Amino acid sequence: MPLVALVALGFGSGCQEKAKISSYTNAPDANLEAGPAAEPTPARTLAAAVYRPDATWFFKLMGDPEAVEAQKKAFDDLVSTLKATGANLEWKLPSGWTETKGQGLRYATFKLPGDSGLEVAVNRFEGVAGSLLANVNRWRGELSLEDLKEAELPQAVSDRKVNDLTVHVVNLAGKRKPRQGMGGMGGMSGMPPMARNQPPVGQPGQVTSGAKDAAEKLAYKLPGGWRESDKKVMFAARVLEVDGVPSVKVTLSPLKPEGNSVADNVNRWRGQMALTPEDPTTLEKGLAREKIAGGEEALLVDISGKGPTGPQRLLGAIVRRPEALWFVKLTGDPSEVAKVREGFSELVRTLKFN
Amino acid sequence: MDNALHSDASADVGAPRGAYPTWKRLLRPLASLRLTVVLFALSLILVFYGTLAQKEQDVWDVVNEYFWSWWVLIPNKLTLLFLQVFFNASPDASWGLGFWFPGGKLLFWALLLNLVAAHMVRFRFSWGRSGILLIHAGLVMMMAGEFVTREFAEENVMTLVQGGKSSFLEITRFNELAFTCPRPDGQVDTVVIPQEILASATRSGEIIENEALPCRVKVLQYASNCDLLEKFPDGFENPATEGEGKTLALKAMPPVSGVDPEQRVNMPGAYVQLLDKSSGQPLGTWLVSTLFQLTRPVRVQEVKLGEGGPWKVALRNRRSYRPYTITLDKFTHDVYPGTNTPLNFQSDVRLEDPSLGIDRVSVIKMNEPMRHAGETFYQHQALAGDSGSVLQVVRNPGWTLPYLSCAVVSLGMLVHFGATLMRYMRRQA
Repeated sequence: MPLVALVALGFGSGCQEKAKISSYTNAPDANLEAGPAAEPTPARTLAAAVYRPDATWFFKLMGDPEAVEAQKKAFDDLVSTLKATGANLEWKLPSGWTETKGQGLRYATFKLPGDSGLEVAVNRFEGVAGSLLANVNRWRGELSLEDLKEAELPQAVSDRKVNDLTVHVVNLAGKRKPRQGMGGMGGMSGMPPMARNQPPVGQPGQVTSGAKDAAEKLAYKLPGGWRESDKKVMFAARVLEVDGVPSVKVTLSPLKPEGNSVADNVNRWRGQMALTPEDPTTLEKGLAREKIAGGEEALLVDISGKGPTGPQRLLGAIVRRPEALWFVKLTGDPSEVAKVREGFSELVRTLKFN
Repeated sequence: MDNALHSDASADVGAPRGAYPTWKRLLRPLASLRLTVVLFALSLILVFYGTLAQKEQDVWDVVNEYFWSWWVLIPNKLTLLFLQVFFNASPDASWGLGFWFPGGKLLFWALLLNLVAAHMVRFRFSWGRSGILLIHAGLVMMMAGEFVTREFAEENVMTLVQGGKSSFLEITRFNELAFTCPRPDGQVDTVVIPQEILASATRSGEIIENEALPCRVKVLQYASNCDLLEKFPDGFENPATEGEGKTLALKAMPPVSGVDPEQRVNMPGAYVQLLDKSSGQPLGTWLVSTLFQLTRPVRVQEVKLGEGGPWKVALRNRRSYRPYTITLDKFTHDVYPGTNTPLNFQSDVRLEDPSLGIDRVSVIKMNEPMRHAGETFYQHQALAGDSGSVLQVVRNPGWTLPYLSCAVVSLGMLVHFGATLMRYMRRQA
């Protein structure tokens, strides 16, 4: 009998009530029909960025345009007191401001006087927290402003020399987008791009279709014993191998020029070799240069450090082209890299973009 | 466990026919261990294809088609899809048709019958086998839990704007075409046509008529998921003659897949032609979509239907009215300092239920739900611009069964393996 009951229950289950037209009387739906529309609100941002060899610092004041404008002089005064002390920065607060220690990603918070609720957020990120262009565009994005191009950056940023520091200051006005709902949980929109030791904005993933097309026009002369490999390396347009030194890997990769800088990428390589990043404002000036067959200048990098499996050496050449930033990268065991160093230089010299 | 089953099964082999009553002999094929293995194998295959199907189908469609059905027609293209992804089958290949396969419901009941029959035919109660009995009882309880959840559990949402109140829940997986008309006493007369009838009328071309409806309805097009285009595509012949449809075009979209990384939901839409209730004369064609319900204020379309009114028409999530009212006094959205990363979502609400004499305030935030009348209210989402809150309202009378069944299975395993260990130790002694 239990079986019969089970079968009867089983066949009778899942029979949903047949859909039918129904009518009823209910309270008016005023709740949904009267909701306020979500509109962007006017806002202004005063921000300062300081790139140090070991860390990147951000100071940001954002809020109602008039309230922020009223604090502009005090913010400028704060910037003029910034001073490096070892790995950290020091400052002197304007009158009436109070400082509280930050938590999580925030290093400190400066509460401003009055009932405006304004505060300056101070964030410190290890290493290079994205290029200046990427960070300025992040702040612009918060105010619904269009991204700037590299060439437009100098007009938007005022560089101030303060106690041997270079402080990049921006003053932006726009409309603040309403915060999104929980659907966006975990979003990192408030974070600098690639903060916290992540590779900076020059990730190979940002190869544009234009740069991919450019790979078709890439030409060079292979040194003796060098050959093109059938191996696929993600994002690389070409992979080269050298006979007799299998540990050496050579890739030629294009990155999109917007938002990528030479300094960011050299520091990314330094990070891969367990080296601390260098000051991005002076790094490029210190690189050696070599004229290539195409007429452009290649910036040369030679770094020795520690790779995942032991000592490693990296030879790099960077060529700035309108359609892409080209990277030629050779890595391997230091003793083997030394054997192919001449070949690498020869390869770079013959580079040409048709 | 398998050994125990085997020993029981083999004990029956060779037993004289007359040793069993007729009902036992009849039940023996149903109690077969081979049948158990076959059913498990079929279940594995069903889960495999049900998982593949979610690449292109909505997860709830898959649940209904594959797991809560007696039979399912599995399209051959799913097998091809698998071969293309994992075995480099030609991307140009095209496999039509499909094959019928036992659905989840059939396998569920077959397994249950198999288990019960096995106990009736093969198992004899003894303390030594009490562990096995407990494990099987736990499994049956687990199956019963799924049954209760499927049949009786509800998972709805309640949307509240700041300062607003609501006494209905929205069943987001279903929708309905609603005609509403205000009454002199401040209440609203509502007539709703569920989506099943809308979809069926689209296929058949039938005109929907009902005494309660203020007009007749002809569904020209019904899309289970759609987008609204502000620019009409080239060659688009607009069926809409009234309302929002005069400036927006409906574009039917494929249903949201069960593996959609953004976990979107279907937003249905339709072109509905309304006809005079008595004469049958066309009154105009309207574009309706649940997408209009997302705007604040909600876009409402008025329709002129001769006498009475003014009536409004909307395609909206199916509603379920409750005897209680919830008011959102305050909604709070905190972020981690210096970022937009959410730290806390919180709804301060007032609950009024005259039927139970309840009037109280409560705080609902992440991991801290409110409970009332068998329903649990979780903080679910925030409306754009933090203008309000969306609560998820869950009722599941079988929510304790999975916990109980796991406890019973664990106890059964403990007893069974403990008894086995004891027997082993006694033999060694």
